[in-house]
Amino acid sequence: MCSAVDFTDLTKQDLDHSDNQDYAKKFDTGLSEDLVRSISKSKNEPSWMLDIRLAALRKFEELPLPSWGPSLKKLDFKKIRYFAKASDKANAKSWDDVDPEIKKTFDRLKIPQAEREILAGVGAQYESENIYHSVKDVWSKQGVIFEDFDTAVVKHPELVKKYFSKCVPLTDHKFAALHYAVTSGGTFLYVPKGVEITQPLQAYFRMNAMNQGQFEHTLIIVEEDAQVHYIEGCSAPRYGSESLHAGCVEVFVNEGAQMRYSSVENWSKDTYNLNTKRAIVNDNAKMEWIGGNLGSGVTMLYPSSLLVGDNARADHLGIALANEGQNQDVGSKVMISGKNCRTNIVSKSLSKGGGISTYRGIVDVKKSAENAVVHVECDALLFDDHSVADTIPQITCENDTAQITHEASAGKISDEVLLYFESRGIEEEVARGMIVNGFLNEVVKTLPLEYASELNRLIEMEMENSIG
Amino acid sequence: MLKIKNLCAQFEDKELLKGINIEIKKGEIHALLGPNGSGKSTLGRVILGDKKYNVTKGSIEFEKQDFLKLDPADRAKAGFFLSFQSPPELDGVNANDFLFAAKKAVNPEFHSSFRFKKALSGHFEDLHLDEEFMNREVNKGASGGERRKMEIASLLSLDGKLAFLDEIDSGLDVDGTARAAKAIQEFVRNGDKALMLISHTEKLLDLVQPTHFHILCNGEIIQSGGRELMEKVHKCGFCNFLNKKCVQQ
Repeated sequence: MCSAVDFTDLTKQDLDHSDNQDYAKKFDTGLSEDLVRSISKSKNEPSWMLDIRLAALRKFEELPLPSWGPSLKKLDFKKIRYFAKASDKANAKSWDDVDPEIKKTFDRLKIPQAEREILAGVGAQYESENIYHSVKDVWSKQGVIFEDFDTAVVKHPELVKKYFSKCVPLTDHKFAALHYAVTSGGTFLYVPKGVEITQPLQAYFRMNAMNQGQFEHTLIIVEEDAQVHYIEGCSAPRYGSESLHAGCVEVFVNEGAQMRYSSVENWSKDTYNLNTKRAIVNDNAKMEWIGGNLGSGVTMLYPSSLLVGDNARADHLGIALANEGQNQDVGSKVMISGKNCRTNIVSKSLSKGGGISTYRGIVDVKKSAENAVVHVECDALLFDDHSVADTIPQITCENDTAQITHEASAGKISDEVLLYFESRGIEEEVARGMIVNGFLNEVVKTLPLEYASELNRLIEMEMENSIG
Repeated sequence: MLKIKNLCAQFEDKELLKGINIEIKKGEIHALLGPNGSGKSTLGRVILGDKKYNVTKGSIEFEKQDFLKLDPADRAKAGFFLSFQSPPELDGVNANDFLFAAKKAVNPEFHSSFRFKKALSGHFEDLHLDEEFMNREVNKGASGGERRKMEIASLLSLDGKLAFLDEIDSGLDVDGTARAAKAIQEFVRNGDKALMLISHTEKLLDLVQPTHFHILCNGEIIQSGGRELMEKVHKCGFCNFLNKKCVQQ
């Protein structure tokens, strides 16, 4: 093996380990205008930013909870801590300057090691703030900006203002409004014209304290003919009391640019993961969303691509795993208004132990979208009779030149297939693992080797003791 | 090697095996004959440990182990190989990975994927099975003949002790049958292994030359013997044979 970083020996203990959370006591739970103002003030934000926050707070109060999808009744907005800072040392440029306790957590997750060996840059967020952010010199010299989002607001206000909330408006839905009211941390990535970043950049988001909320904002601008691969990792310990993740990702893929956004979201089973991710894709540009959703108790996540340019392309590849007590409501939304656009959506879901997974997707081909090619494939694998897999695809098309195909399959691993493995000496549990890997491979193989192995390992951990 | 005593087995409430007695020793080649639905495939499945069938009586001893206490994978590890009459398609699992995992399972000391691949590609060549099948999903879109060849390649690759080959020649053309026969003979050549064949065609049995024959009918072995049994059956058909209308001339 030429690469030494190996995530596959991560254990449940590494992910579930919680650090001391005394710092959290200094921050109140519940949402108020005072809180919103104090978050803005603590970040020395320009006034336009505070205006957006206050407008968003009002919108949040007005908007109803979604009338569809998983129940959010148990989510108590008063109990959530919307902002917490674990350390006064923000945004270190060297891991030596990171609070030792927090550094230990990221060491356990092998982030600094991955940075040295396979990444172009790393951002690490702990609760509401980034504790580390760095990009290799070779890229910053070419004009790449990879900053903690809060820093970017202060350092690059014009650039941020031009794009911020222009892809996902604060009126989009209740959790987008909440996000804009209390947003803190996240990533700002700017790739100048023609720059092809050959190694991936990674941001890792970690929640630690009980009842925590995390609302990071990721804003990515990929200029003409530039290329970048961004990887997002997320995890949190388990407490048995709700936590909330309502991040927002806005991506602008300009003419001829290519963006790949990979994420492995492995929040704990206490987490409501109500994340919004959207990209605007211009002429000849390509957007790829690759996502693995495991962990969280309730996920509602539908990465979206708006193909507004001609010859634009969006690929959405997603994996969702719903284990006992989990409801994974995921899918893809693609709106096409440019000419000769293509989109390929592949969704793979696994349900076991009574878990519920739903593919909920929308493809909307507008009147102006000549010659669109759309392919949607949803496959579901069920591990037992009491687990659930649903497919709710919605395709609307206003242009007759579009070619649209949709395939869906759902099934259980048959006893005959398992017996065939066993007849060759392969134990049932190993057989199930091989079948699951085979089922997911189309998506997993698009990740860099180290992350593909990590995802396989995480899925393996969920599959353990799956014989029932 | 294999001792089956008074074996009775049910599927749902139907009794399919009604007191089977068979003993197979090293170096022997047995052929199981009988009309469709007489229980031949069921016997193979019950020896493997298919949980669909409920063993109500009797015993299966393989290499001095009580098979009825073992899971199917452990029976395979002990050296029992059953070829499937309709091998299933394995979505997303390619043949090389599948068989390498199987090889490591039955032989934990085996680690070299290079050596494995080389040996497997040799078996493919002997059977005239295109090497691209190694990287294809197991049995996916494969013809009946190609599936049989995969079963034989699996047998040779895993190198078990007793192979129960269920209609391994169906779907094979004349040349394919000859190559299958040659591979099977190669498997038993050293005299430390054994075979049980189910076949409805004379061709394979002529080539492989079984040492023992059994006629299975309605879940019972009604007669065991040598080659003369097969000749009788082929001359008169099962019906006449069973009605004792078959008189040797």
